[in-house]
Amino acid sequence: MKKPILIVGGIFAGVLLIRLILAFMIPEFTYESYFHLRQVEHIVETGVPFYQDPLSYGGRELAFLPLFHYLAALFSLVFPVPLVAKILPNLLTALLVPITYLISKKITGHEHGSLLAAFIAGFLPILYFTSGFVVNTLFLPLIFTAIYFHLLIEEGAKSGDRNLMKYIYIYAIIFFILCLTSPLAAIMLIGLGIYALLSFVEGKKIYREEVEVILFSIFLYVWVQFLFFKKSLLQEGISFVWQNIPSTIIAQYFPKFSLGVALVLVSIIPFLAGAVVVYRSLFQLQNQKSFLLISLVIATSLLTWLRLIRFRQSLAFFSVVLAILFAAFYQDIERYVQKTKLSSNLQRYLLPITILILLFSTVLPAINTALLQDVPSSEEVQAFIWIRENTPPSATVLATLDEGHLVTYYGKRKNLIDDRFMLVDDVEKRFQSLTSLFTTKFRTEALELASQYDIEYFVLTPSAKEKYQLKKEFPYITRRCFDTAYQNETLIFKLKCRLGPTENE
Amino acid sequence: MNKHRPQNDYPYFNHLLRYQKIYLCGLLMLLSALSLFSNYLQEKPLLMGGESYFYLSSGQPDPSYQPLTLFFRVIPDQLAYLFPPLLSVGIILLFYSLAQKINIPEKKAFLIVLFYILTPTFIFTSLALSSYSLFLLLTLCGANVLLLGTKKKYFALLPFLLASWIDTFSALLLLGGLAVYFFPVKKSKERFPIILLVGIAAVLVLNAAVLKSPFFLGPFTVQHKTADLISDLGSFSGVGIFAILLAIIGLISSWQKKNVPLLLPALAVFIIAYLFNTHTVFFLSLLIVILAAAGFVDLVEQSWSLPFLRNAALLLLLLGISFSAVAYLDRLSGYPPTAVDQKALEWIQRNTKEETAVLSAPENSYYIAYFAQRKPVFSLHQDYQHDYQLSRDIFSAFYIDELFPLLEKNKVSIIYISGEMKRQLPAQQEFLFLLQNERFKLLYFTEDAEVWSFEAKQ
Repeated sequence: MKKPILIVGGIFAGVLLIRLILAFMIPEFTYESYFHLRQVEHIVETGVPFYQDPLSYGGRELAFLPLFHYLAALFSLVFPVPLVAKILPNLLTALLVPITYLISKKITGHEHGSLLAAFIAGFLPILYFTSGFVVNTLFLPLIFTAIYFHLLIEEGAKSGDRNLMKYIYIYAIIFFILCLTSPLAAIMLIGLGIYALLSFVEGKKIYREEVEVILFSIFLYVWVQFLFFKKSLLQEGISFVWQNIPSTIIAQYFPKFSLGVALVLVSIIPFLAGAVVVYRSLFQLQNQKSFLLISLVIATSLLTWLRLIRFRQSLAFFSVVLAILFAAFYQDIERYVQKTKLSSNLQRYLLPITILILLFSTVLPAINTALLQDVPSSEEVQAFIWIRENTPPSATVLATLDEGHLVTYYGKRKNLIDDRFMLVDDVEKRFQSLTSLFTTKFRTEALELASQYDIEYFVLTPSAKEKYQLKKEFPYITRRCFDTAYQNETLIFKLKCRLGPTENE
Repeated sequence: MNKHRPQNDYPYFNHLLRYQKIYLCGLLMLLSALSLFSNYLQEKPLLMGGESYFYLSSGQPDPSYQPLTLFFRVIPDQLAYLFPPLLSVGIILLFYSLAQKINIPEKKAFLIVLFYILTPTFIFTSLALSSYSLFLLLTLCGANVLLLGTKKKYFALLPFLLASWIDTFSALLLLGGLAVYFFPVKKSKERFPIILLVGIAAVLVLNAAVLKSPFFLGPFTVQHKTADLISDLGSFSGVGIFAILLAIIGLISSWQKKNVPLLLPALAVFIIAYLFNTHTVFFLSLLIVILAAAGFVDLVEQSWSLPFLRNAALLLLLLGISFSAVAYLDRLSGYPPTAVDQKALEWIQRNTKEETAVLSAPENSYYIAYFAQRKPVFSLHQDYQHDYQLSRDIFSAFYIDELFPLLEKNKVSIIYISGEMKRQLPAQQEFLFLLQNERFKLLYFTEDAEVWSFEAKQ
């Protein structure tokens, strides 16, 4: 293979093109993206993120790491925010292609396998939420870049490479940026811890430079998280890890492991190939360069099993690792085929056959995932824009949990609840109230809850109807107490009356 | 290769090391003064914490032979706030004296004291009365006198015997520690160790069997196993996250230096004691501080291949420990008893009968006993499991059928709802909601505290 860089570049360009086409095919963003969009717009206007949000939950404090938002805001100084929100995440995710190639090449030294790994990384279904403007799109390329530099450090320490200091400085900078991007950088730390333990058990030497880098990483991570999440830690204690998610829906974010879901989202070939490599490496540990990756797999599995990281996030990370490990799998397959007495034709066609299988098993599911993303419809968005133009600025609007960010972003009004649960004292109670407001048949209950939270407008989108199995409108709607302020596929009701003592006739 | 720079290259640090006693005692006094001044400005009682008022209160249901209780029968309560910071300064000075005698390196001694001052457990005990703090002072005093040698070591009997008066656990610790020191370590064949150990054992037995001293003193607050150890998780005791990280490093380096026979048993004992009673976090925190100091020294003295990373790591650690301490001090200003608590409880004292039983959150019991001079329903230090369960049953009762029998059984006639209780308990259900029943009457309110009466069935 003469020009692997050109091929990697070609895969990157192809992946980026397909991602952008899919992204622009769907005009809207995923529901959670609107929180980040709002933050970016606020940074562009004022230079700082919204840590005191007057609209979410009717007014609350937020705690999050802002680097992703600042990066997007930087580009938004030149380009419109929605355009940056479409392009940037897809560009960042597409960067996983060259990063995966570099890591695979470092571990296996096998050209074909590394290129295939890069190809797989470009088409992992779990990463094909092309309309998602979320932190994970920056987190994944950063953590794998950090892993790559850690591998360079390990190799540099072993061989006394003159560039070792340069690798360490770059690693330190990348890890610092990673700590400012997402608390999930803990995966790297736990992985490094397991790596150190595995190395100790297997009698593999850990170089002094590696130990120093690991120690530095731990201290830096703890310090940054402590700075940003001090209040969350104080208020929620150890359960801060579960982000104050209401107990009734925590299973959605931390579901039990489902093999079927994993196979669909990771795609079957890399999943099976990775599982084989992990199994063999764990018990044979022949390829010591995979130590770190195997450790990261163990770390992710452990955290997922303990329900300390969300299933989708762990699966995204896991899938990229499996893509990298595919290179080792392919290398073993190629060696095996060469050793056997199979015809030389089969040996010659192994690569094209593999590419063909991968095309069908990863590309098609990836595109399918992108087309089936859960985004609000244009009509629903119009309804929320209507709210902004036709309701008082201090109004509170009832919408589903997912639509909470649409209320604040498009509607610029207060919501009852959204999916940023941290630092909210009464989140359980609010969630119960939300469920009651969408399911109760009793007007008095609805009016009481509306009065408690000052809700004036009730939004019922087709998505909400489907979620709560409502046929037409809220069961407690009456002309006496509610005006239909907006009517389309989405309905918006304005509350006219309040609970009070009965008047004597 | 040792890459240490010559000492002349660190003039400020050397100056700090040379005058560390002055600087660190000054830092301690400053931190204590700031907290006391903050309490003064908020018109709060200067002394904080349930344990403090446990010793000051003469309204305890059982006679207490705690040294501090006896001490404050002589010393006026108005001077009580001076005792904790003076005790802490005494501990530091005695530690320095001991460190000199047993050749603890200057740097390590500095770090142990610095981390001690910045650790939340010890920040709190420099502002609140603590028997374990007194135990530490007496033990250090005894150790210093013991190492004087010749006949003067017999004077060590007094502080050691006093130290064994606190509770059975600390007496056993003292007994075990001295036994290990005299026999496996020093291999002493003198009479004095036997006299000392027999004396301590006798006090221990007398205290436990005759004076009914508890095995563990406390707890004086509701226990949370994780949060009580790591102050950054919201409690008012324990150590910071960075101290724990450093302690782990200290433990690993001690393991490598084969100091494990001393450390592991101590760690095991303190952890087990902590799991039984989180009030013993004092001892666990002390061990963590010592290990953290050892870990820090190890990080400094190790020759790093990457000096840049070393400097960054050490800076992060020092910043982290400092931030933790500052954040803790900031939170401490809101720690009870507040001015509102004092006002409401003094109202209860002026306006209710002496035999009244007052219901409130378990942590408020000691303030009720002191300020209101009334019998609290809960006494966590006496029967923690029972009182904790009872408090949960009462404050999470949904219906009056569940609540009233509990109140009548415990002869509750007055209920004190503090601002903190209003923030923590649900307003629309359970106990606060049930206060709307006609058998409860609001007698008094001030700011966010309320006093209610409960009418027992005739």
